[in-house]
Amino acid sequence: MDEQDDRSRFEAVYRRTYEQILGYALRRCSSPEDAADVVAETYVVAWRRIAELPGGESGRLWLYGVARRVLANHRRSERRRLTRHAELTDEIAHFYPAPSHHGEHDGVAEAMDKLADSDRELLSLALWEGLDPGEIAVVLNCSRNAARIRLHRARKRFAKALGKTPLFASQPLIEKEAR
Amino acid sequence: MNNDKIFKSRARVLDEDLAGRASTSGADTLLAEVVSLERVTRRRRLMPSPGRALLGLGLAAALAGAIVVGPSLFKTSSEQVYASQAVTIDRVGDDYAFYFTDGDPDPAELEKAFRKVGLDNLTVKLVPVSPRQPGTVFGIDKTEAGAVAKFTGGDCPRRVENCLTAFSINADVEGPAKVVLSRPANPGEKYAHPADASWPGEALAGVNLQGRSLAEAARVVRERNLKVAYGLDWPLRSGEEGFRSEDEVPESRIDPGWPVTAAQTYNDGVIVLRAAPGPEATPPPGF
Repeated sequence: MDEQDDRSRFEAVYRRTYEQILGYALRRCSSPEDAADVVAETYVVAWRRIAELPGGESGRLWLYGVARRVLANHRRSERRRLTRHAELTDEIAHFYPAPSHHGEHDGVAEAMDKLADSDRELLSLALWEGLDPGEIAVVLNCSRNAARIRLHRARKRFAKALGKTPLFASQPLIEKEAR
Repeated sequence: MNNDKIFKSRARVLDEDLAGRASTSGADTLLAEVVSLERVTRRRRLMPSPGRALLGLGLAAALAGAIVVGPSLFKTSSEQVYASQAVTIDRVGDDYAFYFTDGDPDPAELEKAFRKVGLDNLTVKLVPVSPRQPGTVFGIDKTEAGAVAKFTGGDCPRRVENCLTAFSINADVEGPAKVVLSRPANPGEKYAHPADASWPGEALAGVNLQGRSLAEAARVVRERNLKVAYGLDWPLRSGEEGFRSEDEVPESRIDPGWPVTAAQTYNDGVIVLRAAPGPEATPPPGF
């Protein structure tokens, strides 16, 4: 395959997956600069390894796997760099309002923080990216059965963590009273 | 609201909120920037660049004797003997195979892993590289003549999640020996190994100089207040695919019309323009 074919193929994959990869990064990065970096580095890896990039739906899952690794390296190195993707950063900055519209102390954030990173990522892939266990298995490079079991356990641990947070414990009462 | 909905509601944004984002100006700019980059080169570098690539490490001699760049080594059955967040170790026949999973590893953690499998004299040295090329194994600095280390980059087994790179070493190696691994450079820190200067975040982000003449490329570099250095990639005399790299080539030996094959940075304000010398050029001794 010559370079022009690779470019055409890459552009098609880029246009088809950009919103999902951008979403993946936005949901996990604490600043627009970091999110822009993760998106950019994910596609740089994809371009440089275009021969390995699967076609069709598998391409999106492969890119999630790359994004996950890029993100992990960002977190490990705790780097704070000036991003050079100023345009992209500007476009996504409004997703980072100063105060969280969810509020910080309702117990849910606390419960999410209590989860191990692996549990949080499993739940995120299932509930934010909307992946089923088979697709999660591709992203995490494990068997479908392992993904299903780990997801089940992550759900149980999240429920347990929610149950331990005082404010959440009051929520069912409010719902019951409203009926 | 059930727990799944509670969790989902905490997403900063959902994909459906991003409809149309793939065609924004920012997305277009990033796409153009990415496809301007050189893809994984199919050219094979026969030797590690002996000068700046291993700056200050004094490894060139050891590398030349210790490293075999070759195909996969893992055709025999393997058994996992150790695993941590940073490394998984398999016993593969007479070798230990290492699968590194942390792009910014802690040497103490890796050395602890080595000791667990009896490699008591194997230590780790980290060298800074571009944050965009995590998980590079540069080689092994050894004193024992019989030690054999082999790169198996890309041969990460599927079961090792987040594997960045791999290599193996004979299990009966006696030390001291030092594994040289990469870590992300800090902002402003000079790289020990060159990065593609056109990568996002690097000094010439999005500027593709490949194929341009050295004269034109040098002008572009200097316009950005960066300095220029030169390197030449000589074709192998054997006619095999690949090349030998000559570094720190003085400008007097450069033909400004030669095409640029790569623009590299050590994050030090200098861009190394590499070129393929024309057929009329005479290689230096040893090349």
